[in-house]
Amino acid sequence: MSRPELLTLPDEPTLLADRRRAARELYEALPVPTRPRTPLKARRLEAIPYREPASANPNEVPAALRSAPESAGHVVLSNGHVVSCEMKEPARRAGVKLLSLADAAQQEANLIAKHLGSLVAADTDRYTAANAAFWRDGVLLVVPRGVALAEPVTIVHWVGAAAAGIFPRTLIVADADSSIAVVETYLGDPADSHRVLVSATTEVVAGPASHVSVSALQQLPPGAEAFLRRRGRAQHDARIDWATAEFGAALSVAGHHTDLAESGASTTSHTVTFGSAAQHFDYDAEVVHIGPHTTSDMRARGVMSGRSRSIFTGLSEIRQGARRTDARQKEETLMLSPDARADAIPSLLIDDNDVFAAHAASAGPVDELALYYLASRGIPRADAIDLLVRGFLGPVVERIALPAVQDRIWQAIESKLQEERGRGTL
Amino acid sequence: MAGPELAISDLQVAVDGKLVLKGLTLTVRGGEVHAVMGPNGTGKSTLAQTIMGHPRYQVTGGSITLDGRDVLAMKTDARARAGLFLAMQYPNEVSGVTTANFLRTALNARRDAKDPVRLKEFRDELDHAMDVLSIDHGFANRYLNEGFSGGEKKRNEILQMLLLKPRIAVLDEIDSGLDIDAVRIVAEGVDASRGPELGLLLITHYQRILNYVTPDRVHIVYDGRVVMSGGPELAETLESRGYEWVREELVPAVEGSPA
Ligand SMILES: Nc1ncnc2c1ncn2[C@@H]1O[C@H](COP(=O)(O)OP(=O)(O)OP(=O)(O)O)[C@@H](O)[C@H]1O
Ligand SMILES: [Mg+2]
Repeated sequence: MSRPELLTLPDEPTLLADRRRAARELYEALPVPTRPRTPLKARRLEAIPYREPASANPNEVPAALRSAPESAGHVVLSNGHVVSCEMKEPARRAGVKLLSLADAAQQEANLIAKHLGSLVAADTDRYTAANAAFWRDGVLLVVPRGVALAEPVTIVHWVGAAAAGIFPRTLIVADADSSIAVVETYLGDPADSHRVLVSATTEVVAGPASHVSVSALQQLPPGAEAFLRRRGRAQHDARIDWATAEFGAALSVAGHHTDLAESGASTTSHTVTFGSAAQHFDYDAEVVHIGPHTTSDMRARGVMSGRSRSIFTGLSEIRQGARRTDARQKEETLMLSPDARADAIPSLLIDDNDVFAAHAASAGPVDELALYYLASRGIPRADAIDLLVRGFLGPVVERIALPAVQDRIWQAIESKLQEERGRGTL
Repeated sequence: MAGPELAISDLQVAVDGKLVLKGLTLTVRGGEVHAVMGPNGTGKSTLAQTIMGHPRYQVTGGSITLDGRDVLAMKTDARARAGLFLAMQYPNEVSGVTTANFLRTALNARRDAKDPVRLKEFRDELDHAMDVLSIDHGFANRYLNEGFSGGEKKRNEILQMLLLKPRIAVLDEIDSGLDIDAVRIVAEGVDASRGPELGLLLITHYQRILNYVTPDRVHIVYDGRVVMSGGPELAETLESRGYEWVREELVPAVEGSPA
């Protein structure tokens, strides 16, 4: 028997309860989104009983993920609920706040009212509305003016075996002149192939001259259908750096969006994707230049094997008045299999003439002549492909803020390559 | 173990359907240096790449054996592990793969998977070989050949030879594009690795490298065949008289000979 659905949470401040109800209405009204290259209807997402958000099951989270020695603060979520939230002394002393959203709703009501949902609008699509209507918990990180943390804050989103719907939210508020790196990982048991809908949002409010770096590693279990929406707003001279890695899930509709709202703001983004089997990735990277003298540099590298499919849509929009801006995009895909497919769609929307903008996209198979060169030194084909794939992804992986997460990405790359070798496709 | 022997017999090779090697015969044994000379486009690199198994070159006749084993039946990587090496005329650039990582992978490909080369041992050997060739140690951490100058690429090829210790090495114009000092350094590196366990096939247009690495035999390739062989003096004759002399002296005889 299913429990009655909760429209709002007990003790929820009125404002949040009202927003949740409004989001629920939006959710009910919005259709399954139509995406040009991702037939969402055919995936029968509505057959997943996700409207009953999962409860926490902390015992499922592997011990190795429960602590992060090299981070300034560490939060673990199980099925969208914070099960531990720790911050080290230096960060605490500097006045950094790291709270579960459930606590923050009470303790930081004004901040939450002002910023939560201010960037990722509930009406983006049905599954973003679902996040706004069904979320139970998440993370609030507030970095006070002038505070620079050398170590990153790490957030682990664990997807458990019984979960059907997971809706975490992350809100990062960096005050003027502050500097912070955040690493979010989304993962679960790779042997768990039950269907689960994960819709997560991350919002970044970057105050004047602040520097926020957000890394995200998506390594969800193979039955996951994921919608990951990230959006940041950079004020005067602020900088937001994104480094995102897409490895897991059956379907991942993800992306990051940056508003360069005021003069001097800048953003960089590095996205690495490795598709295998029948995985489907649909990624949007967007930047909107609103202020003058703003710069953006967007890079993506993907490796596609098996029958996997990826779509990378890059959009650099330059609004009128955003003079002297510089917008660059580069997307490269390495095709390991003739049955895989990748579309890179870079686009520029320019409404001012005094700008520099460039984009480039390329896709191709492994360089046979390079393979021959490596073979001529005794390196077997599979090992040579390994070397080339690692070499191709390396420059992007290195942009991830935390060495431990880089290591995890390399492990993910290694297991993908082994998976392909096992299939005899390399 | 007896020294290596690479035997090429009546080799015929086509590139894109065009016959380039038209029956080439040559044998290189351990301890020997063979110089191969000849005008542009006569098939020297074709010979070198065919020995290594380049996918573009189709063998339409003849044979290549290493110690009696059929080289043509082996894949390129197996040929390398059997002891063949080719210093390429135009080495590839391999982005994202450092020279050190590449070399370590190549060495490990020759060893038992359970017994990879020890890092310290590898580093020492690499440093030593780089010193022999006057290569800045920083090159070890640069991507393989990427952005290397022509001369740096050539040195890098010989560096690989010194580390991989092949039994038969084919050096395709390893001296082209090098300044005088670099030719001497590279040639001395090659000369130092001479010994009964290494046979060398040195493709060149110039006498100068042969001043350092004295060949036992010099072969002139013309139109896909070895048309003349001799001692080191043949290279000197070529240097002074040029290929025009070869054309005048030999081509009528070759063309006139029965097919
Ligand atoms: N990959 C290729 N594609 C097309 N033609 C080729 C290719 N490689 C060689 N050839 C042709 O085969 C012939 C022999 O070329 P090869 O490179 O073996 O000459 P070479 O003797 O090494 O000349 P050089 O002294 O200029 O290096 C030439 O006519 C060349 O154009
Ligand atoms: Mg040549």
